[in-house]
Amino acid sequence: MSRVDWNKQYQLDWAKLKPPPYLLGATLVLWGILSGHSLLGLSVALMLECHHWVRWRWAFTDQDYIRVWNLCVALFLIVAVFQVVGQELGRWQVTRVFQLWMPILLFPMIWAQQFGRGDAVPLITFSLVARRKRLYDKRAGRELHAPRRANLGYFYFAVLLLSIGAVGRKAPSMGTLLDLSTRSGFGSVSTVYVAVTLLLAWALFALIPRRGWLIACVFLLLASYMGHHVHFGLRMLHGIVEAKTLEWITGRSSADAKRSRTEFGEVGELKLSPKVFWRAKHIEGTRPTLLPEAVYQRYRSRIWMNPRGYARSAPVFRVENQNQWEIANLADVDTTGVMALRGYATGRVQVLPRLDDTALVFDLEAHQLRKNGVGTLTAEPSFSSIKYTVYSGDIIPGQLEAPADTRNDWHIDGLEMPKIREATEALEVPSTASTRGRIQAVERFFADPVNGFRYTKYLSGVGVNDLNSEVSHIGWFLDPKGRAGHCEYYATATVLMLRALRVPTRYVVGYAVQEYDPESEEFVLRGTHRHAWARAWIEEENRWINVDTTPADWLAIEQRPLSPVQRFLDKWDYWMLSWNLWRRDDNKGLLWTLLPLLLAGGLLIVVVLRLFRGLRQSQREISPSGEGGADLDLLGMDSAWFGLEKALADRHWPRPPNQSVAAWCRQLVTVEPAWKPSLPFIVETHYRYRFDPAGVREEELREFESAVATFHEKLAADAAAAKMA
Amino acid sequence: MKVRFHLTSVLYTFYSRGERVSQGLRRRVTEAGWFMIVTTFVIGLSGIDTQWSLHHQIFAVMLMVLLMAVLGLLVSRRPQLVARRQCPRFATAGVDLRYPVTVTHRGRRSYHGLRLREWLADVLPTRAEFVQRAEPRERERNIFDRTFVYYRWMWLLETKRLASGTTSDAFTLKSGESIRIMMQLRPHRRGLLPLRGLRVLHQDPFGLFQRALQIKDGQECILILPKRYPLGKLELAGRRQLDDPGTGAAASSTGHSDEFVGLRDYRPGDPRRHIHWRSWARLNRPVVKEYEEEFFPRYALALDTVLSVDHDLEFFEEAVSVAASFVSGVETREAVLDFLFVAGQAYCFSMGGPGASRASEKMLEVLATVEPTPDPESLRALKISIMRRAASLSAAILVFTEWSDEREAMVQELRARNVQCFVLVISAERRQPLADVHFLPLGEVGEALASLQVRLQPGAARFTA
Repeated sequence: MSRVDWNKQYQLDWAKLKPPPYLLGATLVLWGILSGHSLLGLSVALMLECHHWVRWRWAFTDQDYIRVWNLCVALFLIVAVFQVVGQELGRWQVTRVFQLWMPILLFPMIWAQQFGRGDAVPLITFSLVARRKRLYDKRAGRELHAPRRANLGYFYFAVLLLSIGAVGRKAPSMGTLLDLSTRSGFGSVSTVYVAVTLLLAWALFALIPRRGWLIACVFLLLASYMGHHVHFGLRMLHGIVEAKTLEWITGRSSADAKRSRTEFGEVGELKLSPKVFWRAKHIEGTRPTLLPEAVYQRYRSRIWMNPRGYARSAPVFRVENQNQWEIANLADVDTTGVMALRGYATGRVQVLPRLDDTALVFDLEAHQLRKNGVGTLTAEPSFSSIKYTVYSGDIIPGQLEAPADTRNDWHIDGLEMPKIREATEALEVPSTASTRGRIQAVERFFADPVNGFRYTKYLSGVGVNDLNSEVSHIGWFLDPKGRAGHCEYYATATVLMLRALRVPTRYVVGYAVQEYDPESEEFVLRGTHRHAWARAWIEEENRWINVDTTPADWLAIEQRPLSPVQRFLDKWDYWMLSWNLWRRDDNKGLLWTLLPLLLAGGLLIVVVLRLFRGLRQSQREISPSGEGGADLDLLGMDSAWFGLEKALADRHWPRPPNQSVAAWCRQLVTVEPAWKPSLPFIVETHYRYRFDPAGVREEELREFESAVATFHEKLAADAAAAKMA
Repeated sequence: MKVRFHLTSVLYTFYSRGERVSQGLRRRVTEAGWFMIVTTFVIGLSGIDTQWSLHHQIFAVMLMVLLMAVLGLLVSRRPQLVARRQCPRFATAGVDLRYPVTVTHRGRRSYHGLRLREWLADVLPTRAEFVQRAEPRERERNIFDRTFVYYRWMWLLETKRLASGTTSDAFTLKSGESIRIMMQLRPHRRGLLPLRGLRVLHQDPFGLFQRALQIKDGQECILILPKRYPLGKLELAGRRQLDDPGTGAAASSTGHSDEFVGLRDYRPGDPRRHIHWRSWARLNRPVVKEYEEEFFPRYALALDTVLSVDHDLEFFEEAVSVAASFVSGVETREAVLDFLFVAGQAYCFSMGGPGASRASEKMLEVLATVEPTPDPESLRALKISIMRRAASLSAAILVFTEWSDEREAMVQELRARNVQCFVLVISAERRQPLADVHFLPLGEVGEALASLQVRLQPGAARFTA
């Protein structure tokens, strides 16, 4: 056995798990190509893999690895601060940025390992807690075991795979690349999938003996074939799971343009966040009381959604090189209201609150603004802090919201139908009644105290555990025994009853504009202000109107005194939002974009300087003890012997290259017996100074140098005497 | 206190089960396998949103590779191997043991990438040990560590671990082929090391998972003898000597030389083989042959097994090593230790017979398995045991784990009975020797022993440092 590995039974040996040569380089090149930074990827790959071609190595100590890791952490922090504060990226965007740049951020660490003399890094490098613990144990005098080490090669490979997965979304399929039909099996395979499979094969085959490659190849082909089908399955599964749970997971902080899951059937108190999501400043026109976010058409089993045709969104026209998004041409419409909104995006795509009949969205910095068939506006903002101004006007139906569609806007699910019909028949609305008359009848139904409807945040009734497709929550709400609920119950019941009365109606979620902040002169839109109402089509007037049947006291019930913590958070959000928006103003753009960059650069310089100072210090500490340093080969080359050797060579004969110093000296002593007492001592001490790992003591060195000096003097005296003679 | 006791007991269950599961997993999953599993999991988590990344594609292929690896391992045939380990019965703590293993393949297929591993029984601490024994200086740990006592568990595992094995390099075996592999064992501490048997590691096509197939070869255990230190100058009166009437120790000498002195009348108790039959016939009364009296000093080695609670186990281990050093050291000087006193047990090795030559080996065996006890009664038992045989002893080497009044009284009493005592005490730090008591500082025991000059002779025990 060439190397003895103890304790394998008890511990995994991560130090021996090394990737094959050039695997990391190839993966880095792939990363570069996919991320659009080919040159960077190639450069980094060359820098990493050139350790196979050069013999130069650093004697990194464990402390040096910690310094390099600190550099990586500093880079992480700088990028994070720069992205969050400087670029104002949201959490999801920052995650993307990290996934993209992780290979570069971790590069110093892997580079240090590859160019270090050891081939593994102590694992405590990566844990401040473990390092502290070790220091504490050392101070306490406990026995310390050598820290476990790991070769970071495969870890870096995993990081690269993670990054490739994040950046390879736009990679072409094999069909596109090889000009095949994408319908054929191989043509639909992603190039990233093929490349990653090949890299995995490279990594795996390095672990197994060459004779097993054929079987491994067969198994890998099977695995890649199955994996190709499995990933399609995963996509389908994701779609199903997302439909069922995503809204539940993401909560009610932001609307979804495609669907809205109601809280029907949830037992217990409905909890809404007091966090401020938007700030709205009324500028012109009548102050709106409701700001719609998303509109839906179809209701079934607790969920409001839009049918496929209406859910599909189309881009809103953007005036060239301006942040002006025109839904209707302002020249053709009269402005009825203007409102400025600002807030934070909570995802990559943000549903924007707007005014009814929005004609123009102005001053919105976004990559794209889209609207769907029912008038929901979704933006892909450039920054996480958003501000925009909404102009409403007398736009033509269809420009924002599609006119009534009796197929969808009259739709009542079969499950709800009996109770809805029962309730509408009780209204006794004449068939000749106008649309407004029908709407008023429904409004009266909910407002009349005789009917006993009341607003409550405490959800009871049909529990979610009893939920099945046969349970009608609206039926329960309209039943005389129920008749208590929050806005979603009222809005849904209103929509369905109006539809039963042949009034095309849609379901809207958004905000109630109620709370005014005198300091900022804005209305604040909190989670507690989230609201749902109906939007009915008035055939006679050819327009949509809002119908809100929720008892007017709902806001008073929702309103609770804010906690000091919430007040502080509100202030903080306000300042941060104001600062972020202010520094993006045209005049300050360059300065405030450069400032975080300058700060980050300065911090980076400080960290790098500290790193190099530390490295130099540790190299200096290594060298005298002879434990190995960058200048190991030079150790002992400053020995006084070399000068003496030259003098001796001049006196007698030079030392042949193949003769040892000791053998040469033995010959010299036979010629000059007078040198016998001093020369062997000089040679022995020189040997120790040059090669003994323990080195020589200070006093021995002084004695050695003194002996050499005396010897030189003796030689000089002899030479002078010979000259005289 | 009771609550903490219960918590520790519950933690024991948690840790011991966790350790078993962990061992099982480590036996079946290779380093590359762990890497693959963790990476697949992380990439899978990152790829939950299948619309915005390709992580799900990488996850799918990695998952399938893992699946195929398991499948490959399940469908592959088990190699039919026979192994013969040529391993000695004894090893010494701290000294690596190399031994050959011959592996023969009796199946039909060829196997590549097999590895051989010496699988050692992992002795887990008992619940009582875990609850009662505290790690050295545990009180200085923070409250979290003291509550969850994970470090205690790790420490106990470490102290229970007798040896570490190695894994051989990968080898290939064809049908009917035999291969000789050198294996290596590093004994950490003395004791009886049970061998679970050799295991052949048979990996899946990708080297991610493995089977650890057991091959029995009959050997049950290895006795790991205590660590020994070289002794300094040790002078023991060896071999039989003529009686020196001036020494009191002669009174306790026994045995007879072959030097014939004369005849005398028989006295009850004289051995029958000494009867001079011709003289009896002539004188008509029993006459025996009288031989020259001879002196044979008898030495004893006593080991104190009492370890007080404020002393680390290291004190005891060093005491055992010191005792073992004397067993080996005395043997090499052609002298014999006649008695070994350990706790309340007395072992006699010099009563003649063929077994006497293996006395030191047996003594080391005893020392290899001796365990410490916190019970002070054990010291009293040791004292009683030595006192019973004090009359037949010339000198004794006493190895103590600490120095106390009770131990000092024991030494005094032995000296009062004319037994020369050479006392060695393991101490935490360097101390000046007292009269005939030498302190061996922990961590420098080897150096201290090497620098000792011991002269043990009947009637006079002298040592100098």
